[in-house]
Amino acid sequence: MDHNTFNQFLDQWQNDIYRMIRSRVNAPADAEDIMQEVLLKLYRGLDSFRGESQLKTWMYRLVKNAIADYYRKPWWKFDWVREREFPDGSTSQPALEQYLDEQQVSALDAVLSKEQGEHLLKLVDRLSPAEKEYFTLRFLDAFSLLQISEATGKNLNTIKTHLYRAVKKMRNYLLEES
Amino acid sequence: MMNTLSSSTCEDHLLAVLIDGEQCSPGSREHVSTCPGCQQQLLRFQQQVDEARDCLAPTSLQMQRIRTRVWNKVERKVNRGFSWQPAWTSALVLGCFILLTFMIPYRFPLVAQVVLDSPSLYASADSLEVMADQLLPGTAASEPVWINTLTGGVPESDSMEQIDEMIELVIPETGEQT
Repeated sequence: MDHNTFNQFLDQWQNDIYRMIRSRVNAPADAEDIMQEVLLKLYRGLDSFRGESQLKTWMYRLVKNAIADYYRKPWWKFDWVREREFPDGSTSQPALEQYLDEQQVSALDAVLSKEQGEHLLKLVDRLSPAEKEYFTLRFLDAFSLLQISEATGKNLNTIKTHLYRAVKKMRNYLLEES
Repeated sequence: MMNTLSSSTCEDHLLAVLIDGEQCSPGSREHVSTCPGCQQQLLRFQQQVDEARDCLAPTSLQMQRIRTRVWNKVERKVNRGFSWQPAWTSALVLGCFILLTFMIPYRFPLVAQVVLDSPSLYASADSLEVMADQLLPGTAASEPVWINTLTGGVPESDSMEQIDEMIELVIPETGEQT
């Protein structure tokens, strides 16, 4: 695969892939490392992707495997010289100023919106692992129920049951706070 | 989210629309589209989810950094024959350490004494004789005690006399015993 084709692919999918990782990994630096591994796997495997499953579900499996591999990786395989490649002194955590510049919104709206978004993510963390996974897939990764079923190998009724419980719990959390 | 729903029916319809999406029953979709309370809750939920998705999206700086790393890795893999990874380096250092510590003294004691300026790990025959003399004075230097013990050989007569003397010293004769 040549650079241009892959760059076009990244333009289209990079946000979805990063979101998929970031919603499952708390540390932004870890998310960047995992994203790098996923993109390398995609670069190598995209040509041989035969379309037996949907691209999105295939990417989800890549992400899941990359996360598992990352946390299984022994200490000597970590990329210790990572920071040397980027001597610009920037951190992985996006600064608020940069966020505002990129989103092109007013400061107050951005802060409120970011706070509400982060608040919802914190509530999602309180769900059980299975509920969290299905909730994230359905609402944050925007998978359809059929895509979730294909990606996880679970049947639709199981997924619906988990989702139903997850949404109910989220509602209760919000009620408690209000 | 769904904190001001008027009845459980509303809640059921709303959950069906949220979870099933396009595949939900026409009745639920119709209800949500006509009920002001449900519509408000649905919009609010979608807004919160969108804000959470925004929080998880990467910044352009992050993506630029990740892309640079990916292309660097791709090009390094294409061009390299061998590169000094931390794992290789530590394996090499460990190998040298093992070689110097164990192999050289074992195979080449003289080299070990000269190079490492330390005695061989294995005591020479001379030092064994000195040890034997210290433990049992008067024992034949050329025949350490442990050799006789192992082979069951008969000790020299001089040595037997000495041993008898030692026994008498430890257990003095107290007369005939029955």
